Amino acid sequence: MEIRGIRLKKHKISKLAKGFFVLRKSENYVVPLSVGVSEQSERVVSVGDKVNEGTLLAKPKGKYGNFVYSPCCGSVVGIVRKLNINGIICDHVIIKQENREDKSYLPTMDASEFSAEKLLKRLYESGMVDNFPPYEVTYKKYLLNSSIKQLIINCTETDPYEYATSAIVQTYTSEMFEGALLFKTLCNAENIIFVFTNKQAKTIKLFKEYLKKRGLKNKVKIKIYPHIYPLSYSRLLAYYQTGKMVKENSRTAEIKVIVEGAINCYDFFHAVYNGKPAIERAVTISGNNCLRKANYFVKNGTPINHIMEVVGFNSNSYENMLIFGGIMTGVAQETPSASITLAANSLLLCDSSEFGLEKESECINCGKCVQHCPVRIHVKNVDDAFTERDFMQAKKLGVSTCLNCGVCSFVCPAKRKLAQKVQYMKNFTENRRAKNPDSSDYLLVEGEDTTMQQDFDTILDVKGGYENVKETNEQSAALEVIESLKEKKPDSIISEGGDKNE
Amino acid sequence: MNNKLFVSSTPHITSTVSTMYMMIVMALALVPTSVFAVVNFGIRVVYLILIGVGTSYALEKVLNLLKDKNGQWLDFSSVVTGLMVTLVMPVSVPLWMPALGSAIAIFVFKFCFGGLSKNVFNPTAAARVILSVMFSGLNLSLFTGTAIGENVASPLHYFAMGDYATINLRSMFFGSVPGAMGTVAIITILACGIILMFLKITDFVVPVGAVVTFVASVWIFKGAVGIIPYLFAGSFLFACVFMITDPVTSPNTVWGRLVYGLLFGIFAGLFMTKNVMGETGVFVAVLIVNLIAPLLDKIFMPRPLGLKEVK
Repeated sequence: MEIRGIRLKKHKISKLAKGFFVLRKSENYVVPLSVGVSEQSERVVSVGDKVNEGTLLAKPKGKYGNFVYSPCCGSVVGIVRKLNINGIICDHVIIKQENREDKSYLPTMDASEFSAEKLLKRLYESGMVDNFPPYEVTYKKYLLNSSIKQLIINCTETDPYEYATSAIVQTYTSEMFEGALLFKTLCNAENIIFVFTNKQAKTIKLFKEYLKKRGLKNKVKIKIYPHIYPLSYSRLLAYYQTGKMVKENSRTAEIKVIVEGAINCYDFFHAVYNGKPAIERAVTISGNNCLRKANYFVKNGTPINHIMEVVGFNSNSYENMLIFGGIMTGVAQETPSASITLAANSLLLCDSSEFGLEKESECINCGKCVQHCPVRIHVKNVDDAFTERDFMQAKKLGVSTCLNCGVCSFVCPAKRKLAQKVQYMKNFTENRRAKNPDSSDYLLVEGEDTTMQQDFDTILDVKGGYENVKETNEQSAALEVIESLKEKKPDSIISEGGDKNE
Repeated sequence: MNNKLFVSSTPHITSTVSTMYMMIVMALALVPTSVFAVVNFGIRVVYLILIGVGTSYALEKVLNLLKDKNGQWLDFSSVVTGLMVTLVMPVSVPLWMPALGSAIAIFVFKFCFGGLSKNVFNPTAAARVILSVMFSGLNLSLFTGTAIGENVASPLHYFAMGDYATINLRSMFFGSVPGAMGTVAIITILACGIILMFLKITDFVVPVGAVVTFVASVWIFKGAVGIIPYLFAGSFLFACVFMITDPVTSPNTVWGRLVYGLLFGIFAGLFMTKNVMGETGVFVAVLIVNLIAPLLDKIFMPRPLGLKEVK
């Protein structure tokens, strides 16, 4: 099996990174009701309510959404509708933190009552979200019809800055391992396998020592892969383990494999034994502008402003980028007033030496994008199809299988925005299919040429980003509040000082 | 953070290898063989190179200004083309010849095809073939000299008659034999080729495949005794290292490249042993495989993993 991808230099964070830090409590928490990239949930609290740590804020609406819990004790002071950190418009509940220690967690579970149904119910109620692409709500992976042969615990880390998974495996080995066993019980998997990369020597050593102590040295399988980005994608791991690739738009359960992240195992352990719902996430905070690079437990809804205040940042730097998620797949933030969601495990405060904003030049047909694409899309031809607006061709070339890992854009010597174009073609074809589910030639719908043209301009100029410098801080924060006022519903208010951005 | 935030879409980093970097390394890789050419053939080589590179660079700049493209001409590809066009000529050519060759390469085979990356043929090989057809009286193809008007037979001429004794293989290795300026010093070409592959500017699949089938075809047509002499003679290794590895004209996929290299070896071996167009035979082989490359791209089209069958 050929492992395609790129070797990224592993970025070292400071020696502090051995363990975890807990962030000082913020004054306000702005909790997005759409955790990660899922649809918005249905709010169950209103302004003026007192909440404890772990109080339910929102519950799923039908098939969509997720359970959202309060990250702190306090009172709900406002509800604001704005973009969340992953780029989805949703309601945010603003909670003013109070110095109480009340906890209203879920009931704890006894070891005697562990059964697949009960654990699945707990996973559903805990509101956990995957911390690796495609950031979906975790319990959806376990809604299966077939039996599971292999449960892969993904302990790999191939993004250069991310360190949280390794730190979880090193620091909380037993919790992680027990959580993994709970997942095994949950899906009735025949065997369980822990996957690492060969750059995680210390992590593997500590994990093996733990297994030796437990007397499980030869009973637990460990697989070590070369350190190649984007290995940690669940579809690719399933492919490398089984030799079968999941078909587009379906989950790995189809080929009797489930991939679970190590951080999720840790969280699930606490959800089961302590009843603690998903209210915080292990996050690596790093980048050259960050003064105290380390792993932190960050609560859902913590404003980035607060994080920057706590970890310290280099305010003398003039060209900065704020990225939520890894440097290869993360979302660049326009403003530091956004707040953390559960859907990724790093926050980067980068200076200009760390990101590249080169201009596009002519393709020289070197074929690097084709040779490095992990799912073997002929990216060069997709680029041509994009130029000719040929969606049928793009669909035939398999844009719908794209993982959005960004390898093609990374390797391109002409600095062409390949990943963006492939992703655009993918989204376009999928939106068309969703609009015309019955038609077989849904790509041939006419009459939308002008909007298409605008979209192309958007992807090439605005999203390209090299001249797209945004005003930040107070100005944009004020703009945001004004924007949210426009969409104000009768019952929602913006409280004074609620969405404070300092 | 009182300063501005940049926003871009993912990925936020790109590799350090850019088109310009590739072209500069390629041009630098041609420097050692040019130095050997100056040592072997005298100072005239410098004038020829300056004329060739100057013409090529100036022409590319003018053409792109006419086309109104900002900044695109500054990618050193014209320097590489000009240098290569000069290096595949014998030192005895008149001074205007590199200029004409560069002009043909840049204008006809690059600009007229649509600029960088749109060309079907390798501009250097195409210009060389055109020149040797146009000026057959100057003996570009078979006989080459060390000074103007002096015609000395190149090693390929002796090998074609089955004479492997006259030419010393050691002197071929260090380039002190008649032949095209840049292509005779085998040691520098091999060293630069290995460095280029090590830096991943060119990949090793194409040259290795080419050498394998070339050796095989020489073995078939000339016997084992001819393998080393033919391998060192007549620009074959130069074409292997610098021409067929050209990203623009070679296929995209690894398997396509392998077949491309294998085919090149077969054609080059056939043309050189059968003495088709003398030294120009190698460049004709380059043009032929350039034509086959799009077909190979189609045949070795990768199949995306996990793609559902289209009804």
